Amino acid sequence: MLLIRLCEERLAKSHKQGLIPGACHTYVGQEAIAVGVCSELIDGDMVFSTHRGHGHALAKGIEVRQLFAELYGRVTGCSRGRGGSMHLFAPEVGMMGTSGIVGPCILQATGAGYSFKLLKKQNVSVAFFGDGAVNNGAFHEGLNMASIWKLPVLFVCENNQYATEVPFSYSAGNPRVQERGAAYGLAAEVVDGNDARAVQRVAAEAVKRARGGGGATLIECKTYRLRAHAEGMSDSGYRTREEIEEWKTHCPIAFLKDYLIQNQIVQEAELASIQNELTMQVEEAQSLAEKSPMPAPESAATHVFADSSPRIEIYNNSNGMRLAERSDRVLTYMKATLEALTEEFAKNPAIFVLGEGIGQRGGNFATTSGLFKTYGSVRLCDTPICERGFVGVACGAAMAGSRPVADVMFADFMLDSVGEIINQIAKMQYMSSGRLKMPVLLRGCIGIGHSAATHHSGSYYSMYAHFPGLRVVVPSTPHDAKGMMKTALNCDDPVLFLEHRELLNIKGPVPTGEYFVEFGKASVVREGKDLTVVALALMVHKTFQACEILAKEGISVELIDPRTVAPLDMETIQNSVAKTGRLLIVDESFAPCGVGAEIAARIAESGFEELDAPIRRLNGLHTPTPYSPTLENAVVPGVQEIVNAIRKLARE
Amino acid sequence: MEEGIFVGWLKKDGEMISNGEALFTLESEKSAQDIESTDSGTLHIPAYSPHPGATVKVGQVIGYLLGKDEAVDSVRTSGNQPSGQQENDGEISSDLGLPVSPTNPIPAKTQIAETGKIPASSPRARRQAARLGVDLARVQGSGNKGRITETDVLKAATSQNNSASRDGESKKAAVVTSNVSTMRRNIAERTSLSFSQIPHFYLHAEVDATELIRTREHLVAFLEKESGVRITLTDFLLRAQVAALRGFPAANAVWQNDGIVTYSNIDVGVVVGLPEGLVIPVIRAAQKLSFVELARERARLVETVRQGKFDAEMVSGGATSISNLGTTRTDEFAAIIAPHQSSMLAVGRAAPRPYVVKDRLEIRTTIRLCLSMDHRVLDGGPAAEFLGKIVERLENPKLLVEAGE
Repeated sequence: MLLIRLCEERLAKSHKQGLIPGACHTYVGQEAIAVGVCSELIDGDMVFSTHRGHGHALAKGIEVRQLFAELYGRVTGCSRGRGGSMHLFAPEVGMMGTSGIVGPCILQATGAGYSFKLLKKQNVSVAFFGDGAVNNGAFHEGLNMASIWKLPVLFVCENNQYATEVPFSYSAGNPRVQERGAAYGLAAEVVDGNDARAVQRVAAEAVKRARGGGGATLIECKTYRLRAHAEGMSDSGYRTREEIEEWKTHCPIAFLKDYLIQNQIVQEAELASIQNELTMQVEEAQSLAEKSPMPAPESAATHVFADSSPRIEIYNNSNGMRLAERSDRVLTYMKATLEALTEEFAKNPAIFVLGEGIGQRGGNFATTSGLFKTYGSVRLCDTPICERGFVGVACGAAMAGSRPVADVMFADFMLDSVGEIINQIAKMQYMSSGRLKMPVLLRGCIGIGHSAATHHSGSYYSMYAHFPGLRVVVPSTPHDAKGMMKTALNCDDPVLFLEHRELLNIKGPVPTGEYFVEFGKASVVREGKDLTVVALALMVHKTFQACEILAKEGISVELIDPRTVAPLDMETIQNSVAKTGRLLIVDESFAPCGVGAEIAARIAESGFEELDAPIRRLNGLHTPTPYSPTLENAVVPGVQEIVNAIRKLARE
Repeated sequence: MEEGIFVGWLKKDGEMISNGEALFTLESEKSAQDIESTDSGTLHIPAYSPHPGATVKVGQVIGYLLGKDEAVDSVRTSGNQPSGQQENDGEISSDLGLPVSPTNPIPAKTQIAETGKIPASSPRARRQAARLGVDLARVQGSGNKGRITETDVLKAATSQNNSASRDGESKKAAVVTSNVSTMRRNIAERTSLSFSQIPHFYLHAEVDATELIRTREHLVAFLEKESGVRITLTDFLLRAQVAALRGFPAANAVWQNDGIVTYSNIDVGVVVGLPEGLVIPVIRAAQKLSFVELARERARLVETVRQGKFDAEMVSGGATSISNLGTTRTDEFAAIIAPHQSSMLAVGRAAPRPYVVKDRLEIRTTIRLCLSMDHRVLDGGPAAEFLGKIVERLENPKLLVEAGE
């Protein structure tokens, strides 16, 4: 506790000195909670923390100098200078990150708990969070899932009474956090968070329950933050000087010190000598940090993706559709992905599926059909309807060493979990400087058809491809669907596997042997010389039909299916444009800021002189998807429109 | 408005035009507008009609609307009227026999105006035009709004190269007052471009060709009987050039867009003289050809070119060419590099000359070579090495004939 206090005070000083380029949220006044809980943890247990996480990191075992160096932005920091105060990562000691977003740590700790259960480990995970987080949906979803699956998790609420500057008494309908445990059927305790021994006692019981299979515990620790929300911020206007002074008299360190001396456990002189020793340690850490080098600017883009590419032998195939024609076995698209999943399930016990109705029912689209009988409910985990929650669980589970497949049925539903995907899953490898791998597979249906209307029809690949850290896969044939599902299940990066609903039942040749289709390698579906068309998913098939019609008119079209939007195989597209001089992008999804816009911009940048006509796009209308068939048909490009667009471009 | 930019015809020559139909696009200072016909008839677009991008003056004749059974000649006989009287922003006059500008005293039923600005063209077309030395201002665009496409450039390159005779007969009343052929003009432009833009330097070498001449004489009848190709000294020279390029890839490169582009295939041009000028057809992937195949290809290209049947594709690409004046009285000369290439090997006649062999003066048959080199691509040292390789091969002619070399 004293070490935490001394570190925080020195860091506050460093912040004033300008040694800390970013934010610094101190833990002064709350030290007893981190120390009380972490004293009950063992190797392999994991801590998921908040923006106010220096104390948790130190209590879980990161070195003082790593903390200072990180806040100073040095290469020797625990996150190699990529994170700072709000992204402290030391997975080697079970410190799974502090976070700049309130709430996700609750879901991630739940996910880690799920991994422990799946991998049959006796470990527990701990989520530390403030009172502000309990009014966030992640709290509700996370605690509920931990309860129904009886996961080994400690939910430790540090109720310091203010969510930044908003009083908890104002923001909570029921400010007694401990009472919320009952709502989820969870054990719950409330404890004086400034009494380390009391916290330890409650934590010990909770840890014992967790390790014994008794499930999760919610612990409310009443405490108070003695410094401003963040260093350099004003601390007035929302609480009084008197209140702060009053709480200073309840200092957790003084409280424990008094106890130790009164009970003659240690002598005052001994404590003074400890204090001296710790002060020296802190000073040494700070001066070491100050001398440490800054990270090299050219390393700024490393660790966005996993370092090593997965150890899989890539099926050498640049032309999925044509090659597939040589195989005599025919499967539907859905059966092809199921076959991939089934093969990988048998090989890798760390793979599990999360989703609504993917257990006994076998998935709304038969994505997991038949697996439940063999592998049971832990590897085929039916979830409540809480996409944000179970995607957050998938994030934490991957951080803790398993390989989750979050099956969201329709990609539209995934939008509820976009914060978890983009802020957490996609950024985790980078923020942890490559020490965490994030093999999360997120799958869902995209595409317009069947009068599914606007909440079951979106294609979101362009949006996800915008962000660093995600692989975005959009297969168009059963052959590619299987090969890419296999690659996804062996890939160490997060993969968005988006399946066009109108393709699920198409049949196509699928080779019998094991094979993989590499990400970032486009398929030249059809060769031609007059014009290049790039199309994805269902549009590949519609464009193919258009090409057949146009071939009779003497227009020779080269059709390219990029297959993955991220990474995007610009080389194949560019080579084709160099040949034809003309480019049309056919995309069911919206034009503005879409994949077509990206391809057009890249060709304009590096293939300008190859162009013999303006680059054209044919997109779905920029409108929500309507229900009525006539309206639905009107928003999506059809074969005739593609024919017209190609004809027009060929003449330009 | 006094003048505008002629953007392009919206109708084709010979098309029936109704009153009110959009006929052509004209760009004024403010905007481009489609100009409607104020009469009906059959559109006749004369040869001198402005190219897209040309400036046209109000009152300038750019085309005719002919009545039934009316020919251009019959229109010509109708009355004249001073130019510049039409106001109407360059619209077509509907009167028969309208007067025209002094340079073109052909009366018009309808006149259309127009340029000097470069017309719209695609980036690919511009690149191809630069490669082939085609003047875009003289290319008719077929794309949207008259945009020049690559195909237009390729077509223009062909016609600029071989339309000399056609030129002569149709230019009677032409706006262009030149009496030189398109090919001549093309050569004028391309050599000027090349000589002003490529920093030439020259390396000379005298080759002992005694053995070379002997080898050719030895083989010529046999190979002609065997394969039907009559081999020439040029074939040996080409063969030596290809072998040297293979051993020295840095010379198989050109300067393009502020950088060096190195070719993987060895394409070599051969200068072919024609009565009206010269053309440099290019032998493709010559490294893949045997001696006889190379000779056959050379013979085919020369024949094609002499028949005037070449196209733009045939004369593009490659990094080097050979110009052989060996059948003339010229002992040696320096050549101008083709604008899209980086070197040219100029070959004089083979003749008996005093030559030192092993410290003794002898009479040997020698050939004097001059390599013109683009200094942006190769400096003196490497260029000399390249030329050295050519000489070495010519002095060991047997190797040139053998397969695999």
